[in-house]
Amino acid sequence: MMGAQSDVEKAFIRRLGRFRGDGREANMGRDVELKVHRNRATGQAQCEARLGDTCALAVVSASPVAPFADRPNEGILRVNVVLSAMGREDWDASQRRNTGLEAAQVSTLLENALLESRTIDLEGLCIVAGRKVWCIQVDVSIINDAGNIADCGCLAAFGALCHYRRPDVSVVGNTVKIFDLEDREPVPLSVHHTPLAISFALFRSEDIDGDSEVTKDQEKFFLLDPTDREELAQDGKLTVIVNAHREICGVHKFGSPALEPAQLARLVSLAAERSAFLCKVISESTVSS
Amino acid sequence: MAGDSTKTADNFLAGLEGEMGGVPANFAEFKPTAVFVGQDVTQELSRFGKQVRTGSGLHQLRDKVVVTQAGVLHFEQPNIYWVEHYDHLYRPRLEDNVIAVVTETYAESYHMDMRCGSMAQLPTLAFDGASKRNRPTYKVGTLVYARVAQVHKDMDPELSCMVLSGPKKDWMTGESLYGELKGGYVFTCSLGLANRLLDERCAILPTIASHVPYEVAVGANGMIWINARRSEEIALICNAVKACEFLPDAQVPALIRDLVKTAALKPKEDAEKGDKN
Repeated sequence: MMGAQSDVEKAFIRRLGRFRGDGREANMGRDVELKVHRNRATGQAQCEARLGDTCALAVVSASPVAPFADRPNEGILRVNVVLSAMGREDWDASQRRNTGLEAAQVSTLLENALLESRTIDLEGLCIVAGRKVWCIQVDVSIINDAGNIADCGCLAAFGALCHYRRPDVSVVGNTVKIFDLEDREPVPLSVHHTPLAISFALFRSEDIDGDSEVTKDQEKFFLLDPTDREELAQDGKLTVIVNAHREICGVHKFGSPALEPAQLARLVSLAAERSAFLCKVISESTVSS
Repeated sequence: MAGDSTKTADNFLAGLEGEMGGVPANFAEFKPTAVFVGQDVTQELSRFGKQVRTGSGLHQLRDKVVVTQAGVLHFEQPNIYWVEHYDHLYRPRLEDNVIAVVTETYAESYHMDMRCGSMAQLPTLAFDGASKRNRPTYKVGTLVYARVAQVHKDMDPELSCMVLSGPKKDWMTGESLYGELKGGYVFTCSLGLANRLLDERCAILPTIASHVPYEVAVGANGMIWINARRSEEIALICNAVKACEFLPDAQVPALIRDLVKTAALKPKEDAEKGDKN
């Protein structure tokens, strides 16, 4: 939410280690809340995802466009991430450079989760091969950054995609007719799976004060779903993109410390559990409405 | 002599009250009320006298007073009114005690972040007993308790660690009122909560103190520093303070008792280990 972190705060977060200031265990995430909404007039679907105080809004809209020449029978999925000054004080127009880097990181993650993991059946978005396909646009804006915006943005994007219904079309000869939302029931997108980004803040704790009983296992620790203050104090970050069936679709890691294979495997399996839980939240909140 | 001066002071105050048309006895009748932006509160304000002093959230438009911040209208004797509202952006005010973080260091001054929209300056010599040769050196990230010494709308605010009135201690002794805060934990809260904690009638801090001993520094800029014997205690106190934000004073003791009880449920060996550190 705000800038400078003092040494006092950083040291305290490290000293607490696995006991976190807000009472969570290291492997516990914050409360999740999804709110979905569909606009009957424009057909847009939106999803507001909250992880604690972090809040992201994703809006999905579709329009018929000409396909790319090299993929004449595939639809197009576009992801756009917006970080405005509303999300955090220093995401300001005057600090464009800083904002650009963070936005790029989040959109790389989202593209990894949405595009490269083949989550949407793009061929199903084709209307007339080589002439018209659906272009699905996902706009994710971070409304409030209280840490872990990548996970929250990813959650919002999938919530909105699962909730979205595109207008029905019929093709007779050469004419394409797009039906009004009132005339014919709109159709859902076929979402194959929902790989979600699950992040851990990683800490090196060699500077823990005077405790000789620190074993090798305790030298490093991790915190699932870090808050903004924990992110400021962290040494590195691990984001695992994994779906409910424990299939890994991507791993991103920034900074230190180096992880041993066993530790990485443990984090990945924790991420898979969390992802399965979040997938259930998505399906519950998109079905109920 | 002492008796005489109190009498004079009493007379002086009585005279002031007389000038304002006498202090009515029905002050107790005033109840803090919720007000909204743009609301005309002239009637409310002139109930106890024609002359009033308006604080934050109130603005005079010719012959009426309107509200500029949605919140709760408060009143203090003899004629002071202000609106307490939920806000996060601090606006520096002269002589406020604040907590700030060093973000940049220069030869003449430190640049400080105190959550006020612009950075603040702390001159390197603005410490009691500091000279060019003998002065504290702070690194980036040092947490400092200071007072706002200068505010101007076209300039960055200036902080100072020199005590204006009251006992002065040299910065070297480590006992001065202002200066670096070491250890413990600092967290941010709304300005409303910070103001409430600064009010000595507020029940939150004394109630916590009756359960756990601790040190606290409250910055009017919505930063609170807490230090106690153990990390778990610090975390407990921070959460207790945050949880009390929207509770009336009467309900505070019960909540804090509950929190302390839940925290004490942790395994005992854990607690003993903490004591040794």
